[in-house]
Amino acid sequence: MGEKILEIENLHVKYKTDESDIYAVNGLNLCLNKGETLGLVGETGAGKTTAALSILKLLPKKIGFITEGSVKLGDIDIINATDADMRLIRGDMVSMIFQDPMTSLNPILRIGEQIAEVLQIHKKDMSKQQIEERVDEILNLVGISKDRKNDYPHQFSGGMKQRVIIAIGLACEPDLLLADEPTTALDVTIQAQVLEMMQELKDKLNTSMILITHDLGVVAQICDRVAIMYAGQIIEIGNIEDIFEGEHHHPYTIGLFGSIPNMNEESKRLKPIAGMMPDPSELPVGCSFKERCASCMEICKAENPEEAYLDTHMIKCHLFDRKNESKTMS
Amino acid sequence: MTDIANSKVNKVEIKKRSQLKSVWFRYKKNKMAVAGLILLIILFIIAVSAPLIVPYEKVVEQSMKHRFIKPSSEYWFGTDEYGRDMFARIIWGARYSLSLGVGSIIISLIFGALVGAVSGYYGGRIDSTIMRLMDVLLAIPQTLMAICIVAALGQGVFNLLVAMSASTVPKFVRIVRSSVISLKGEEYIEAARACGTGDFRIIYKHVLPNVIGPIIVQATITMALTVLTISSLSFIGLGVPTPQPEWGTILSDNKAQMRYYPYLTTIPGIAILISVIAMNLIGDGLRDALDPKLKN
Amino acid sequence: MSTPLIQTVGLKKYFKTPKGDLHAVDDVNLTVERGKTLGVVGESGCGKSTLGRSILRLLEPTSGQVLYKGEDILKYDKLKMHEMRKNMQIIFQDPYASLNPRMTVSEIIAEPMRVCKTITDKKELDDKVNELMNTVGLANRFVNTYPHELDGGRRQRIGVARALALEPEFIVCDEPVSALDVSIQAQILNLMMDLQDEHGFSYMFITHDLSVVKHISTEIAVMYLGQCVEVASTKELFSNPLHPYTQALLDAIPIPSLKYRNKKRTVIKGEVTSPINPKPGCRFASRCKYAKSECVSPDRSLKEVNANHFVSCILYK
Repeated sequence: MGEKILEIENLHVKYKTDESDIYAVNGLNLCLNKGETLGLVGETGAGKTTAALSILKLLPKKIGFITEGSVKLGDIDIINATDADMRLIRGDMVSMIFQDPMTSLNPILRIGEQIAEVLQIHKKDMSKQQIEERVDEILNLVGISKDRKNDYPHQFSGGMKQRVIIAIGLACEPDLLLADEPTTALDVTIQAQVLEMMQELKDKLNTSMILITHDLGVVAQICDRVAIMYAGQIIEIGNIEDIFEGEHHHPYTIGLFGSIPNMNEESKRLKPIAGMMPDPSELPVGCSFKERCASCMEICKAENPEEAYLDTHMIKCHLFDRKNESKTMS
Repeated sequence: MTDIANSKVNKVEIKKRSQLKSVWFRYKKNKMAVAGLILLIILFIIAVSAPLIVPYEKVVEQSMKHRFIKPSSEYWFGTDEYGRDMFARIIWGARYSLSLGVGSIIISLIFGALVGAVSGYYGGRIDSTIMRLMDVLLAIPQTLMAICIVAALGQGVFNLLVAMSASTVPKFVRIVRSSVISLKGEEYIEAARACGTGDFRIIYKHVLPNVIGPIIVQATITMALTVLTISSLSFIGLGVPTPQPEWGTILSDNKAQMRYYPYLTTIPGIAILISVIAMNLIGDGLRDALDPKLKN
Repeated sequence: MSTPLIQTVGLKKYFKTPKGDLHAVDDVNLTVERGKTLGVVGESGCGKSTLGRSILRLLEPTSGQVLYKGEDILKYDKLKMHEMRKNMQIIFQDPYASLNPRMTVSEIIAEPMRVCKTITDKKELDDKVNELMNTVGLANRFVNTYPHELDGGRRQRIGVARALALEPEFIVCDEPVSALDVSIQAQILNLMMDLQDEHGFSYMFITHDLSVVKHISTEIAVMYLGQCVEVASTKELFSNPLHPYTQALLDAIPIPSLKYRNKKRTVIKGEVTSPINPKPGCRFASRCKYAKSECVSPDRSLKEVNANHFVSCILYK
């Protein structure tokens, strides 16, 4: 096991709205090693983005609250960090890439200035000359010619804008990159270009990354570990082989794979998961997947399952609680 | 397929809340807006039940013996230079001021919604013609235009109504038109066209109900302005003719006595102020409550 | 061969823009057979949605023909077109924007029948709405709810029910599942395939997602910048893609399996160029690794290379 860069324990996040309280993240445990790419997979409303925002403490003010748990970035305790501390961390140690490349760039600033801005904030000791050089270097890294650094965002296409955003994210060589659906808004051929570039960067820079996505295909391409989220919890986590080729799975993971039309074999019907995710404002007692689960048992209705480990593979399901009792490590 | 759908449906209970209810839910969080609404409701109750509070004779009854009596337990708001009971005049004045305000807004609302919807929906030459016409109307200040119309048609309650409506219509046309244009590209409009729905049905069934929010907000805010304009017109003698107790008229009647008997002008002034503030507060509250961006 | 249900002949739709004509759909010839599904694939801006809307005359095509059972519907007058609309319907991408937020579920589903006066009796109309809701798997207790109270999957079911209300023969599905989560997406795809089996609809299934289109289509047309570059049966297209663009497109799909993890992909460089006043010749040439000088020659019509496999590329003559 390598050096731990991020440790989240029992994280709970709640959104307060006019009408009700929404429990977006409910007891999330997550560990990330240096240089590792973790795919955080789940459907809309599973709490993926909320989890990422909590790491940066960017939850909407007066609406989103971390109610319980701890988040540690290296040895920094994020929960008790002040706003000033957080400003130093954001962009320097941890950066975030958002889904929509069209709206994440400031339309009235040249892209070179936008990249330089992060450096000016965090690398106070760098001279103007050094910053310029770094901007050229980072643009080169993401595959944009440095001649274009004086162009405005609207002069770039979607895929190129996403490269600029990644360049901004990487400018200070962060330890951790949070990428929230970085390719979802792009066309497949452009997505392939961006993914290829991210793959190369990963190898070159040894940055840890959390890739938030709903696309298992993207995960299969670039992640080392995969976490499947459902109703604010990680219900299965493991190395990429565990998830894609392992023998045991959480019923939800099985359903997720069954829902994707297979490109390589003829299948007449898909095997979707019945029903939909529980309402996050009224979470059910017991396992949150019980209502959609084909193998739901009595115990599932009453108790939330414990995390059951099998080497690197964790499944949070009563099916495995007992089956693997002897092997359970934790 | 049906089985799956039904089985899941039985378990998941949906939250049911009508749109009106959720608007009210957001509205009532704004305390000032609720205060405005209560004020306006009180004013309306007073206007409607004026005959029950004081008989109309009191409004016009003159008495030389009772001139310039300061507010007292007998005459709550005092009396004016003809010895008329100011309390009765203010109460009955609410009828004129509010009904003229509401009436003219309703007229310009209906007219503006229709013209604006047609203009926005069809676009092209119809749109340019209508909008240029509205630009001309908008170029003339509201009060000036009302003065011109009243001057041309003559003084009177009905003509005042026409004048006020004509001067507020362009605002409604504009706001409805821009909402319609932004809605026109919506897929549900296209879906309606795909099953052969006629233009008229699309406008009244699919377009207008969805632009009602901004229209209502505009209506309440414009109403405040209209009440103010009506009072100003009456003040300069072009509004409601003098024996009738419109608030602006009362102000105008007593302006000569302002120095010696300030209550004669202060009280109708406060009445105008309260109603205008109430309407503005409601308008602000409604705008926040109806704004779909704040919705969850 | 019998006359196909829908056929487009040289269909063109140009939009006027300040910079020149935008060739959204440029000379497209496609055929949809009865009871079959034609998948139309392409990236954003390739004109696939415009094609669907032009066939339904939601947009008036610039030129060309749309043949319904051999008759050109573009020549129909208003009245005849109104009748015609019962036979052709559309399902939209966005289940949020495609339903009128001020109408209840039953009103939305009943609306087409009210408009076309296929059913006038109130009782009968209610029964039909119930029947349709049953067909698409919506519980009856949702009859009086508003769309905003329902989730994406249920809303899309309403959209499907509305399209079915007039009992059409042909349905254009414009990215009907791309706004939905995978598990919900699979539910809707299954529903649409079941409905086709039962009622014999013909679909034109527009999407950018190749795995979805492979699953549901019998035949696939690949579009690039307003033109159709390859048409073949689904099996043929996936096993033997001929056009360089199709090859690149197939290669770019991330596959959820580790077998392909370390496979070297041929990633095409560059991005889609502007469809405004495009140059003559192959529009893919600027990104194509096989591009030659002949690619700029103007003639780029579809040629039958194998049986029922059409490609427009100079590599295949």
